[in-house]
Amino acid sequence: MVRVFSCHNFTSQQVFSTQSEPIALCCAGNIVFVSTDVCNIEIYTIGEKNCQLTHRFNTIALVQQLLYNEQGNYIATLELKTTRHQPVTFVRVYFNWQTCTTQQPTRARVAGQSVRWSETTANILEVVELPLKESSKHIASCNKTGNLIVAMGTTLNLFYHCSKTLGSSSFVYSDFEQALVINIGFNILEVAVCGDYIASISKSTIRVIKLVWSKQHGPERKRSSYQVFQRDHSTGSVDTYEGDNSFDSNPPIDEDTETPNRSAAVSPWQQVVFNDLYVGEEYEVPPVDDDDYVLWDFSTTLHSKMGDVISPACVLQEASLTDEKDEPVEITGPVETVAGQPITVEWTRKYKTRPLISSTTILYKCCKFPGDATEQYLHSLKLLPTYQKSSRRDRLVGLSCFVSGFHEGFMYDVYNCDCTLLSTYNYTAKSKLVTTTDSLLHAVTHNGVETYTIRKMAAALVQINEPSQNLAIPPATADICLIGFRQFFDITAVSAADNFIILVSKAMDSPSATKNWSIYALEMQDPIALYQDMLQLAARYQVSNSLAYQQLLTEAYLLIKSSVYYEKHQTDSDKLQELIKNCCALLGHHYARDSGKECVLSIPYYKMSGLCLPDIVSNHKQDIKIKESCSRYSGLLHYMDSVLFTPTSDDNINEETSDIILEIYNTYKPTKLSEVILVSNLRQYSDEKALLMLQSNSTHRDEKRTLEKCHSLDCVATSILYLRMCEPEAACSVLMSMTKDAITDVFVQHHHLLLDDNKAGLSHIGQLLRRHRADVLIEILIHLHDNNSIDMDRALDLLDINVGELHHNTHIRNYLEALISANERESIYPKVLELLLRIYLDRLNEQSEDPFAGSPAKTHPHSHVLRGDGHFATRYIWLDELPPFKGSRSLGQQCEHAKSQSFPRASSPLGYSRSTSPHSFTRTSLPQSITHGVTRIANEPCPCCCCNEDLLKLQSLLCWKSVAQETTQKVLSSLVKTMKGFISLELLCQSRLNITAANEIIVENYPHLILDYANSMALWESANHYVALLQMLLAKVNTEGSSMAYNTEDTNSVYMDQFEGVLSVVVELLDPVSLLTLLPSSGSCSFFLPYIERCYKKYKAEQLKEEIIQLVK
Amino acid sequence: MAGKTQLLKVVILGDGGVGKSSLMNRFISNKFDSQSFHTIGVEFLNKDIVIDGHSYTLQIWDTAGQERFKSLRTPFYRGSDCCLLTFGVDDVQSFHNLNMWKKEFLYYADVKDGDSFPFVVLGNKVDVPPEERQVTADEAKLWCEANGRSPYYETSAKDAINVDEAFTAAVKLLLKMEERVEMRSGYTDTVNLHKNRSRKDHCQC
Repeated sequence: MVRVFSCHNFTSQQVFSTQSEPIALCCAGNIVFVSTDVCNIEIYTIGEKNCQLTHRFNTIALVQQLLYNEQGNYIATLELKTTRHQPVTFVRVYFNWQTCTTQQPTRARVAGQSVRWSETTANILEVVELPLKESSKHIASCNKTGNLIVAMGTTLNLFYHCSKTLGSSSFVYSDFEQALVINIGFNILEVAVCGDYIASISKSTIRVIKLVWSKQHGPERKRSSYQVFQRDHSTGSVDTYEGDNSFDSNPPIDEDTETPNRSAAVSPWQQVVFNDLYVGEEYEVPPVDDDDYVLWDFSTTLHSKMGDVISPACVLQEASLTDEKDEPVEITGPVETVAGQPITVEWTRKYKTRPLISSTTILYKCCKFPGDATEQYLHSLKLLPTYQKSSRRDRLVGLSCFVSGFHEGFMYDVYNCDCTLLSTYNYTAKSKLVTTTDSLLHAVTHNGVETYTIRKMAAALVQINEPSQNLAIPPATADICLIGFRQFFDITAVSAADNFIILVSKAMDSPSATKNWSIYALEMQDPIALYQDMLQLAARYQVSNSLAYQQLLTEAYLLIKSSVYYEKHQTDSDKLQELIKNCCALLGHHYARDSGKECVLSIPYYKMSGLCLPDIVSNHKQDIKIKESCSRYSGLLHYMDSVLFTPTSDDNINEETSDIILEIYNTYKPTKLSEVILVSNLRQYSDEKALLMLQSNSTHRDEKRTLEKCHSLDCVATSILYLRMCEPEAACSVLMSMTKDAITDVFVQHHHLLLDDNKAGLSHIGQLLRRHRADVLIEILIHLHDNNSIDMDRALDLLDINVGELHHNTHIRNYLEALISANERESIYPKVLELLLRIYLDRLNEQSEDPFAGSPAKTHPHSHVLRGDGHFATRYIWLDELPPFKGSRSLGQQCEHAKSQSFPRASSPLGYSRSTSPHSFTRTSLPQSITHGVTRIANEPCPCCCCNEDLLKLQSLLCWKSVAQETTQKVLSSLVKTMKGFISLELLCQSRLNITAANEIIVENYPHLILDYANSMALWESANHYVALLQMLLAKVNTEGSSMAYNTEDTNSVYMDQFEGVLSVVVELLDPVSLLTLLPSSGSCSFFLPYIERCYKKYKAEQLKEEIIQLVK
Repeated sequence: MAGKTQLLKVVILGDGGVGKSSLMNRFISNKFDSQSFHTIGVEFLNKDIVIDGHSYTLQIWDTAGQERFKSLRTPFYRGSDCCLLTFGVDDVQSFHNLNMWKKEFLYYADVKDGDSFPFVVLGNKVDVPPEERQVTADEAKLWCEANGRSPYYETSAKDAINVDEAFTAAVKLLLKMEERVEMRSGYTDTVNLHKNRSRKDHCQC
């Protein structure tokens, strides 16, 4: 779609006239070249006030088309000469046109021939004629390479622009060598070339191709005496993505003369050496003195005379070409072939070595047009390159291709062989001619000149801008605008100079005797003035039509960006840069107010504008106060997010601005307010105002019942603000009102809130949490350990590991216990275990001095040992029978200590976490029977679990299956006999270190526990353990039996019971023979027989099982 | 088209040193330089003249006469409207070479009907002492008569004798020939059985 914004006017208009009728024209800078019907070219310089004829030179014939090439500084012409009613076309190139006069002779030569004159006469006007054997239709040149391309019928002849020296002479002259013949397949009416890209059109078909160079070479040919190299052009040359193999490579002269024929890595033009057979064409000169001599010229028909055909066989076999298709077709590349439309690329024969070359089609489009099929529908073909300047060589960063039909023009992006339709230009009337500048397109219609915007810059910006910079690029496919119209009639030619559009107008119906032509130089609007006009117009749309406003701003931005990039206004560079920033700021403001998908563009545009956050906020201040309903400021919020939540951002934002920012968040994104307060770089806001906003927010939210998560962040923010305002009670109250999970979520996500500014200790909120919600703090720290935010050492520091005695620090103990109770943290077990064992042992030692010291009693069924899959293992049941416990029931009984007195003291200066509920004992929670019959001896330690929490935990740790020997050794060495539970700890340690010693202890002192003990030990011991125990018991039974007089019946029976128990296990483990050797010879047969029998049966059963398995196998 | 009759391409041919460049300079700028150098390659200059009330621009092509420059000059014969075959009256060889020049021109100019092409023969350097003269006017006229009745002028670039006349005559001859061609072109749909066939058009094998 074309949008219409009338904001472009030509600033001035000059009219001048050539002496003779103008035929064609072209422009370079602000110089206009006009060819006239008296076979000359008049050269005018357009000033601000007048157009001055500076040069005029004669051409050989009537110039139908002319072009100026910057790189070669030449004027190329397509000339027509009718001699004796035979029209003949020529393509000629004029050098030294600046020094020409009509009085001086013009020197002529044919391209590719050696010159024989010296440099003393080098500065006279020189014309070089291209050797062409067919009628030419159109010419084009590449402004970077100087190469010239000629359209003849269905073929394109590419002439390579080069500089030559002759022999040892230092005389350098420009020349052209016919290099490639490309058969496009349709009758070419216009052609355009840019580096390796070639575009051509017929009446209704356009094809854009790119030459593809191969590193392979064609067959060798005879070496020439010439050295050929490219001209040294100070402007550098193009670079393509493919590297050096292209027409674009222009190395300096020195390099070339030294190495004219290098490897395939260098320019292909350096590898091609002209065949001396071609030079001078002497071999073709017929012996004209012989009347019978007839020359047969097969060059136009014989294919073999040309170079090798570099096309796949399948392409050559394709169906014959059709010039125009019936149906409209559009094929966007890159494609190698287009069905029915093969292309051949051939080297001419004069090259010694020729890299293989083929083509890739980027665009093939056949248009269907209304009206007479014989009429030329397409016209004004153009390739519009964008180069990135650099000291070494310019790099092609964008290439657009324009072609126009009668009523619509098409602009494609063809860079890098990817084809995209950028814009469609729908003219208001039938078009005849189109010319372009870097930022505008001027279409000549039957009514006048229509001026449109173009997207060449936008397409190239994608390549120019580094992706890492995250700069905004207006979309290249966005709608274009018709920005101006100027009425004109009878325009026959148009061309664009730097600041002017040059038009040739011929009145068709005026009497032929009078001069009926005029040349108009329309001064284009200065980009700055046009920019300002666009902005003025945009301002009118700002409120009423947001899209129009945005489009005009974008157009203005691209306009100025183009002016800067293409360096046409270097003097105003600073001002233009300022305007770019200004425009970016306006675009930033626009997207800031936006709420659509594009609102995030506020970030790059603000970044490009150079504005800082306070400037931006101040710009929106008024609007925000008004609270426009139409603007939701999503873009502004995105931008503020990007600034406020970027750690590197160092915006120093004052209190006033900070408050406005909070206000903006409060108004447009209240859910983010607490995050801004807690997490962002914003510091200098007023705590009172922030608190008020949060509170009002909270009330508002309660009504709406929004997410809990946001609410918890608000609560934390509120609490922190209270603390800052020195109101700890209020802060505490807010914190206490939160659930454990809510607090944990917030601080795990924003753990830095726990740390003070130096990151060395706990922040105020962290301290508050420790004092009042220590359990939550520990849980948070565990989460932070697991997500690698705060490691163990850091956490221990925060919990004051270096302050006071370690075993009095409940928080550290809790933290370590939590750490060790999950198996995924096994890697840190040794470190944790070392600390934790030290704590427990120290505490047990301390309790041995003060038997009533311990954890507070709990009132309901509970467990002191943390569960989980960590280091805390299930304690062996026999441990409950060892002192200070008196059976498993004793652990659950009511604490004797608690019964007699209220809990004595806070044992840690750091403050234990305590339940404030009374120590009541409920019968429902503990069976009555357990409490019966328990008698307490004075000073005897209480056997309840509460009083022996540390012991329970230590035992649990030692019951873990993989406790290291070093650990048990350390524990064993730290044990003191007076310590509570000494014997159980010693047993646990010895069972790992010295099983015999452990066995002895249990057999001697706790015979009733032998079986339980043995079973628990079996977890890590083999049958030998039972055997050893059995032998020990056997000896004991024997001993006991012999000293029956001294022992009670009970003791003996205890040993016997245990013996039988162990024996029952052993018979399951041993074979009958081993069992028999184990049994005492003096043993009672009736006692042992059942065991032997069981053993035997089991043994036989196993044997049978083995046999069956063998049989099955 | 206006340019067709206004611009006339005139090629001056002849052996090296017969005074082709001097003739051109005398005609265009009315100057003579006795120290002039050999022409290398091809040069041209324009001169506006009025004949019978009509103005014409003569594009006069000066060529290098030496054999070694042949490849440089021959490409520019194409599109010529008239050819001035020049010899030095003091150089009989240059006179004998006129045949060669005419053939060379007709071949490279790609003129299909050589007999109707306007050639003008110039015997230059008539200012030389009579004893140095090697070609008589009669010999020259005889050659012209045998070669399509080309007009013959004896000129002296040095003394400005007959130079303007020769060029003017060339234009008049050309115009006369043009008229004939135009008359003939009116019957292009018919086959002219009497028309001479070009040498290039038939095979010799």
